[in-house]
Amino acid sequence: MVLLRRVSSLLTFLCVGLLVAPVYAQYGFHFGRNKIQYENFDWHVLKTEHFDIYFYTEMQELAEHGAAFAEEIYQELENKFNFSLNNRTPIIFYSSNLHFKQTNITPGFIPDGVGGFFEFLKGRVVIPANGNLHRFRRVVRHEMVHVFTFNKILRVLRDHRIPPDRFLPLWFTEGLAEYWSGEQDYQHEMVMRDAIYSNYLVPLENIYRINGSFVMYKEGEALCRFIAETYGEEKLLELIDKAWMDRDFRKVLARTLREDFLVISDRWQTWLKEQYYPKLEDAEFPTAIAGGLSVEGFNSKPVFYQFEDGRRQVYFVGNHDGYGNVFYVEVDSLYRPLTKPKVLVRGERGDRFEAFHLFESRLSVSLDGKLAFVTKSGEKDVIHTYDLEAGQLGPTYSFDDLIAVYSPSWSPDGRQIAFSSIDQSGFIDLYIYDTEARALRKLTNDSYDERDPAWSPDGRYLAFSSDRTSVGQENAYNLFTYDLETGGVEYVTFGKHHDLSPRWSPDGNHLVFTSSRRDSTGRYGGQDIYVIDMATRPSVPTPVVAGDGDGDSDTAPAALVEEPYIEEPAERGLRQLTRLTTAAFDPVWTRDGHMVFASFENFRFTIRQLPEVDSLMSAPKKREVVNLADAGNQHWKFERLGTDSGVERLPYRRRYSLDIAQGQLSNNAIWGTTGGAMLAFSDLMGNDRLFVTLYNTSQNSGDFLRSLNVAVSRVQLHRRANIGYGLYRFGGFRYDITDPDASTEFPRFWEEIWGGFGSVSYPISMFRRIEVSTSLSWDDKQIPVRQIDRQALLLSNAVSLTHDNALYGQNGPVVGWRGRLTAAYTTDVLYSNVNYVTLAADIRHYLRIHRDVTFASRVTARVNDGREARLWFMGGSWDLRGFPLFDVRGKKMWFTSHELRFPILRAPSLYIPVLAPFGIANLRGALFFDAAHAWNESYNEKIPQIFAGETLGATGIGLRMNLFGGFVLRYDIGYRFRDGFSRHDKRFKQFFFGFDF
Amino acid sequence: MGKMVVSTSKLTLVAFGAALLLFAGCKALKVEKANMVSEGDWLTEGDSGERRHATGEVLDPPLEEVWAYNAGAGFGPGSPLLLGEAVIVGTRKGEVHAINFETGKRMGIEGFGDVVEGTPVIQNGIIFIPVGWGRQALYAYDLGRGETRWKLKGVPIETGLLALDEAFIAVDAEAWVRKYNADDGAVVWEQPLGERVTIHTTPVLARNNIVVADDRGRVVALDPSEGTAQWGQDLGSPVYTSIAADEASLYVPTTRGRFFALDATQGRVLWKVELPDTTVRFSAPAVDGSLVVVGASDGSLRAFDKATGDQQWIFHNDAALTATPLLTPNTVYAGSMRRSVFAIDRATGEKKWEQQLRGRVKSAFAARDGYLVVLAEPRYVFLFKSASAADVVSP
Repeated sequence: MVLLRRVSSLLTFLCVGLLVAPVYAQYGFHFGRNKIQYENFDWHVLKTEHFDIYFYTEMQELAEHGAAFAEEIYQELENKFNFSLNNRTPIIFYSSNLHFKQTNITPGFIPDGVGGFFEFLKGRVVIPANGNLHRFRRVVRHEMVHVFTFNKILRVLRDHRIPPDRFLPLWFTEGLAEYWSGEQDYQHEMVMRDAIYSNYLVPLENIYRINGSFVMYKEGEALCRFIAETYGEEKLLELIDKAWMDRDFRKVLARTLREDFLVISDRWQTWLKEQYYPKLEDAEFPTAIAGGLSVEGFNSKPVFYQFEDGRRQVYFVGNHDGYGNVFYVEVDSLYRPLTKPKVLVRGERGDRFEAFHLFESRLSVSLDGKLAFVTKSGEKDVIHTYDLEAGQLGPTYSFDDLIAVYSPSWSPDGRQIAFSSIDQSGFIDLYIYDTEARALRKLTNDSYDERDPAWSPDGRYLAFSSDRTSVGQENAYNLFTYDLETGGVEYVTFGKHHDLSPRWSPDGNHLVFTSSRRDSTGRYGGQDIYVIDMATRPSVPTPVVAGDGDGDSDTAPAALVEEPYIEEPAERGLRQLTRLTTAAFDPVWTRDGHMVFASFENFRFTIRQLPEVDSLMSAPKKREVVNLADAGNQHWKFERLGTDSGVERLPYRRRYSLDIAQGQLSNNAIWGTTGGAMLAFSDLMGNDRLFVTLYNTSQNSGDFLRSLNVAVSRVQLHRRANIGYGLYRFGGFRYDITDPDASTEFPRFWEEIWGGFGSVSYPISMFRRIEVSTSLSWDDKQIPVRQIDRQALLLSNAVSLTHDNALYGQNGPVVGWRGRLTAAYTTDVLYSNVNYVTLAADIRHYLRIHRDVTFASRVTARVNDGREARLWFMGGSWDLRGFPLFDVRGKKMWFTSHELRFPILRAPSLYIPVLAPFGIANLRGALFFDAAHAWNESYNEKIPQIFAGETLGATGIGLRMNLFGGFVLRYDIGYRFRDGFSRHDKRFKQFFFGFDF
Repeated sequence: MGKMVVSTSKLTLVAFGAALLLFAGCKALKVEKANMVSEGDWLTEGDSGERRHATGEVLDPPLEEVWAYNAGAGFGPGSPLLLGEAVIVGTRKGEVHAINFETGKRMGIEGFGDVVEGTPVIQNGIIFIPVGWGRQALYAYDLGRGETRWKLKGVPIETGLLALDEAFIAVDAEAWVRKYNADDGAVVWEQPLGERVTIHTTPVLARNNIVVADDRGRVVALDPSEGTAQWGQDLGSPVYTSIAADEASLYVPTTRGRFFALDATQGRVLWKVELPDTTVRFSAPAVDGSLVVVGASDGSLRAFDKATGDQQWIFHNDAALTATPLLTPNTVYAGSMRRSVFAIDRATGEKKWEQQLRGRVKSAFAARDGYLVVLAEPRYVFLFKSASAADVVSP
């Protein structure tokens, strides 16, 4: 990552001439977190009929499932798109999200929720597994719809000879991908219901305002379903076929559906309301029936603990200010909050608690008050413990072969922890870790999705949720118990439901869990809290579930297969406690008879408590009897397409293909005609990158060879340490304000440099790295007006340490801190014409005072000292405001800046719709104070031409306007000061662009 | 010296202007003896108002590529036209090209709106061109003189045209069927087929009725003289590709794995094919003798007995077959989405020959004198010659 930026900077430097080189060198977008390649994957490829499936050896079985899923959807999409792909599509699989985060195919950081992506430059599809084969299959299908859509629209535009610069709207492409990848799932229903009931459904005409959001995906899916059901499924393809007709997709929509655009929008909303309003009749809003314990930000996975002194506290993971933390809130005997939520464990700022799986991993509290929770820490997940009684962190447990870890659950004696985990193979299984014996035991070994184990109070059973049910192929999840004495796995619930997140009642007589179920139309209803009776004892046999029938269950006891039935009740009483409009998650039954859970409503995840559980138990919304005899004893498994099916398996071979070819030609009075080209190549994994740059600044034909700039470099990203090296030859006139020998007013001179460089960037953690670089170059500098003709063999070595845990808002960092220390030494090893030391420190701190208000501080000091030491520079909107861009210069300098950043309008186009087409994402303000001092030999020696030798400053107010979410316009007005703030110099106005520091 | 420069500039300008005129002249769409029709000419989509996509001339593989012509843009689903020494194709860039059948060189080119999606029709040396997007909807262009006879504004027409005596039928994008006078473009009659429906099928002549089908699956027969509805049949499956007819029946492909044979007199369903996979889209069919042959998005080409609907054979390949097949006495030709043209034994369904092209084949074929015209992505017209064909093409 870092090296990439460096090379990009180098290329930009060459493409725009040498003029701006110092800008990048100094402003150096050298901060940023690290994307670390912990693993050196042994890639292989499966050659199926239409795809090249890339995988690493440990996950071959999963890759073979993925290959089958891809070929399966190919056949379907060939019909739906009436189109065939003429190129093999590369699909790259990772066995877990944590491996996926290491990919170099995209330079960006990949958050937890990303299920995969399609990269259209090389047509690559990249997908991680998460232990759930249904989800894996769905993501494969989703991304393949993107592949077909992309190829189809490209063909349509080329057929009509229209440049492929128009895109289908994101709501349509993502909506179509969701719609054609499978039926609407319970999450879709949950969000759409909530959008309707809470009145935040964004009409079609305004859907661009939520572009890229989760709601947009779900609305897009609903829109595509509406179009298919109302106008015909074929209209979806017709929309792509007719996309060439107009850049404005609204017109394409109106023409294809033969209806006014606004009428379509209205009909869609009516269609939605007709589906969801009738369900409101006997449903309850979570806010109406359950008191809120934490209602700000995102909150999930609650647990409860009552201290020996009687205090009651509810713990949960949440994100209130951009960072994930473990929070707690103290409650009274009626579970009313006594305090606001407080942070127990501060996460996502450092290496130890690098990232929480906010919605995926539950917490657990042992009877003696030990809290267990999971974070990512380096290359894998670990289980942390926290002694609540002692108020301090306990041991952390990590496991060599386990990558992702979810939902720890303490045994009643507080000695063992059960959890689910994904290993290198990509399959999720149940494990138990004995913290005293330090022994890890694998309980299941199959391709089913085992989630959320909960240890029974008597210590004999683990209840868990799984798709191992005989109706699991239909993406159903039921509850099971694992008998730790016999190894038997038994049904607790059965049916085509999503039964999730079981927890035992304190007496062990019940399991409380959530379930979403389909209604008569096949749609999922709300996700409600259910309680199933676990107290009744055997009457008739209940089916036992074992492995997936592969015969490779090396840890499941053999008795499972030999004895298909054990004595357990065939029927269990089930009570539905809630009938919610939206959803409940992760209910916990406390010792004093309350129920704490997370809920979703008005697009917020909150922690709530359900009062009067006893009366709900005696008068539930619904009673059922679950007949477990219906479950049968059938196994299911998805198809595989691998070497057994005749598919060729080959080792991955690195082949380079073109990423970017870019040319440029310009003419101006100073530089004459200049031009050049840049080519970038990389391998399929994006691990190995080659850059070739050619540039010429000659002003006449005789000058051509002298002014030829060539650079060839290679960057390797597949190891933890990123390595870059290259050779270059730069020659020609350059404009360099940092050169100490050049004219102050117009620093233009001729210089020729031949050399090579090497660079290593080693990430210590996600937030910290050390960089070492060296270069050796022959340098010939000529400044005729000063009679300088200096030659040197320059050796330059540098080392720097960077820290960055800042979080970004739309206009720049909002919380956290970052800093960089650099030391370098440059010397002429042949003539000693050049010999100087560089020391630089840059520290930036961001204090979030309120959700939208940040106080930002920056302190910078830089020194270049020695023979031909170069100048630093300041001035302009990016640092010392009020002074012309880069006009403040000196070999040494200090600078400090402080800003109070605050919102003015969050989304102006909501209030002033006419602004919407201009893409104005926000309008913010800043009160600022800057001070700086630059000098050369003596601190107070004044050099007025470069403002050196005096302390300068500025104070004022600025406006920041973000356009299209990615480009910030800056306008500052204020007063500038000179001579150590003793002289009030003048008022200034400054307009520029760029993010806040 | 200065004067010399000026005079050189003037000369350059004159030469440039002359070159412009010359090229402009070359571009005009003009065909010699345009009103003389030969036996093998294809003057309408599928070579007949019944859209049979069949030829009685033997065209057996192996075929050899004679020439390839770059038409500058992609093509609609219809077939090219053959008139005398010219191959005529419309493109999705709104141009109509005339290509010399023998040499593959451009004879003329003319722009008509933004897209020519449906196949034009030629009648008495006049080519009637439906325009799928643009200010004009219809052109009547005199191929002999190389000039526009008349043009009409209106709702775009995305399907091919049906020639009648001194008139022709067009269906616009808003599902209005109109009969136009060929001489002046006057509307003889017009008939709306319903609100919010779209017609993707080129009108077909069957038992003296004009038959069209819409994207709701409704097939309607209209009286050519008045435009009044004769019968209607609701198939329940959208029709997105052209239908074909013979003396007694209509063959209707749909998008949901269903293929119908209807009685052309009353619209009764004679037989139907229902595939288990309801996402399969059928191509437009070809009809000849006792066979009706139809491709599909599942990569299969199926031959059915016209009378009974019994499947005679099935040919399968690894890519969608969306192009209308061509029936010849011994061979069926099919174009695939995987850049191939196949020759398939008409009796057995076995592959006899395959040729890879530069792009997908999505359009219908035309054939004459042992030659096969193929339209392929990205923008090429190919002429293939069979071993039995004469070397010199004489219209």
